[in-house]
Amino acid sequence: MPGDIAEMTSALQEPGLSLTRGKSCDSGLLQLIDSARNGEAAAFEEIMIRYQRRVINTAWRMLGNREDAQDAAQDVFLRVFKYLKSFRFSEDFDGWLYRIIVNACRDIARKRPPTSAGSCEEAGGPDLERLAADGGVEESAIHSQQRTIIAEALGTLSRKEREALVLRDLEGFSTEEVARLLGSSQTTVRSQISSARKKIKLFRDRLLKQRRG
Amino acid sequence: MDCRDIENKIWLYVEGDLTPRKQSLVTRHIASCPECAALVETATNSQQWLRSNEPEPFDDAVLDQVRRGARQKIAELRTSRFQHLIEFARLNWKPLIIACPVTLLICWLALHLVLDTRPDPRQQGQALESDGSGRGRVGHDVGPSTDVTKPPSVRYSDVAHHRRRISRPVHAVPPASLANSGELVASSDMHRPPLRIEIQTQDPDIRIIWFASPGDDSAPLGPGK
Repeated sequence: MPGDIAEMTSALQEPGLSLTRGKSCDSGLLQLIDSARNGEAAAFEEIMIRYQRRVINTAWRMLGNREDAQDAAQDVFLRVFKYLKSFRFSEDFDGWLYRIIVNACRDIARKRPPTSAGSCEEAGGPDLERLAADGGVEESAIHSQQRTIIAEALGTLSRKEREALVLRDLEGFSTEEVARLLGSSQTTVRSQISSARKKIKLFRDRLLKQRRG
Repeated sequence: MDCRDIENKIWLYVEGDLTPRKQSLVTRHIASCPECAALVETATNSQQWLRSNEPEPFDDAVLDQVRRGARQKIAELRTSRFQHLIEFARLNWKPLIIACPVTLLICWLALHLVLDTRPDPRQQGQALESDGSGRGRVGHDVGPSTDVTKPPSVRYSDVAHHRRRISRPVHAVPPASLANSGELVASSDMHRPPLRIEIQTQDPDIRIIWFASPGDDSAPLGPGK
């Protein structure tokens, strides 16, 4: 059994699963950035097309809400346009973009009333019952249900824990990169992701228990 | 490292977030402890379950909408820069009515101050014209390094257009004193005393003196030191 576990843990740490993003931008992207900085609308449009999915998905994972994710994505592109001149070519564009995403999501989360995120224990009960009762639905809805469950699970985390977990486990940044993106120390990030993973596991255990019950 | 330590480190261990040394310590421990190995397995499953989370499907229409919204916000940002100015002017038109002429006046005064203190480029090597009594004339190049000063009775030919710095006055010596000094060299009109013009250069030891016959418009009669 320990051998199996070692395999599983190593599988989790494989490059395919634990992504590490490239530090430098490709030359095509640099050209696009340069053109966009010089006011070429088509170049900026191309940048938006390249990154739109990544931006909106990350925003959705951070905020757990489609409308908020769309608002955040628009805000992100507005900020990219506004601050593109201050982007240094020696910098990693992905990292720069993710910093903007984190800040835009924080601003959106601050504006909206604190309903879904934050207090986990109170919100956990009824949602879990509903989700557990929905088991065994059609194949096409399985993924949707899975997304909803995980969104609920992420909703049990505090804002900082959620940011750290999304960036580390779902977006695939290293702990060091997450610390840089969030502007905190690696120790703090480790503590946040450890706590967040534990909470996710507890949520999943409760869900499985209720389904079996 | 005991089981309690492992329990705290499991959540970092499963993703390889521990230091290599701690990572190997945990690996060694779980190899010999079935309970901790079970915990690691549960944690690993939980992480795999989390990773199975597919991103929310945003179709192309939604993405188009996002881009359109972003473009609109960018356009608003561009126009808002000018709108802020217009709005500011609309709200503050009364103070602006006062502020604009005052600003213009200050600019005009500042401009004149700058022109007054600026040395005249034509000052050097410029021919002097003196009308002492309204007729005398002195034409002489005072050299590039000298700062020529202007007596009240002496004017530059284009004085109407240029202002210049006056460092020290030059005296038009009364003709009577000249007559007694014996320095008079020549005069075309002996009935009238010649005009004496002194010009102090920047060097305090050098003073240029001209004697000019009131009736003569030619070159100076002779410089003195």
